[in-house]
Amino acid sequence: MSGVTLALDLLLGLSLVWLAWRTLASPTLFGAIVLFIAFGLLMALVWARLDAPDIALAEAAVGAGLTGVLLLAALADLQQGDNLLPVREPLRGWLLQLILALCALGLFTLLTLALLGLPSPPPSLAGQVLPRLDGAGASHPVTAVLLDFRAWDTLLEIAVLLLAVVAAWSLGSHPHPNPRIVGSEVLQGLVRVLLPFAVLSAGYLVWRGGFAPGGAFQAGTVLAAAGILLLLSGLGRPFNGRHWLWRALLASGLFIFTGVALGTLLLGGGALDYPAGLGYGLILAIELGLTLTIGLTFIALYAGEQDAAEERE
Amino acid sequence: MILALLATVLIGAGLIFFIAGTLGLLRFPDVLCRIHALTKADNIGLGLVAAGLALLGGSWAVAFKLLLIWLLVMAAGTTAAQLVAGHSQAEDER
Repeated sequence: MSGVTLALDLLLGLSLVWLAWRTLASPTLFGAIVLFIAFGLLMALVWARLDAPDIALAEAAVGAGLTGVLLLAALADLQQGDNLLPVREPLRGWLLQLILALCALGLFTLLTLALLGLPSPPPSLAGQVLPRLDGAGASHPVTAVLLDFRAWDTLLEIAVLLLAVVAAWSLGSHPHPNPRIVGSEVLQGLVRVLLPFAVLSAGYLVWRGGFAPGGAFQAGTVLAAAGILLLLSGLGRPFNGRHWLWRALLASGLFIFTGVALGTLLLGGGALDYPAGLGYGLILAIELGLTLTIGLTFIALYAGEQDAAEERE
Repeated sequence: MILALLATVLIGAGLIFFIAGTLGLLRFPDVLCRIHALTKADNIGLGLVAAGLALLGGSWAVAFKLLLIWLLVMAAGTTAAQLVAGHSQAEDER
């Protein structure tokens, strides 16, 4: 049995390397994006094989799904300008290729040496995390690390996401989806069926994050996917980022998170040092806010600035 | 034992549909033929694999979730196939 799983793992790993190479070598950008999405899905399988379901879920949803959507939207913008499919220049010159190959080989050697030099058993933080789970606000170790032990890091990550939207908007991004492709009746039928499932799954993923793989990032991505489908089908009204309500919801995760941090600071503990007994409720409140923020962030990144488009027309 | 054997047969049969669908995707001449081949793998192939896995899952809850996954993938796959076909038709008419 272990021989079969080893063969399967080897096949997965080799396919990953092959797909990465094909993605880089693809002559068209569209082909490269499609291969990149396939790479992300395979990467999710690899994470699942490594017993990291949290990362597998995030990789499939964010790495393959939403990044793929954003890349395709960016490609549509590139093509809109002069109607030319951008073709990438292959790397010229044997000297450059040789240098790159040597660099890659050197990196590979260093990584292999690092891997071989690991002590046995490899260093792990599990020994520090697991004994403290009893006092944490979540019984799932990943959630406990993200929102209790290292909540500060997650707070800053959410601030970065908000900054990303501000940066994308200030670049004067093109609005999506393109009105010409919106409104397929078949898609509308599907969206009507899928939307309740998507909202239900998002709620389930947040709630489940407290004790099992899941959480705000995965749930937010599901919400974002539902929102983008809603925009693509033409059932939803175009996303208007200037409306105060959207902006308030976009920032809600950061607001709640910062509010909790300030509150815990005023109560005398450290920032985000949850009072005993309140950890679960506070983490759930933060996670719900984060889910909304993450979902809306991805929708906002995809939809761009609708108002700018109306002014142009 | 019989359950495991039956599951293996179902999953194996499902994989045959996936292989046939992949072959069709690679070998068939145009978009519509390729979609025709792919939807077989998506619908029947995944259904057989899900049925096999449901037998191995060991509980009705798992079986129900697999059934739901199959139905949702069928709905999404059918819609995607319809959209791709519509797009290809619009390109041809242009």
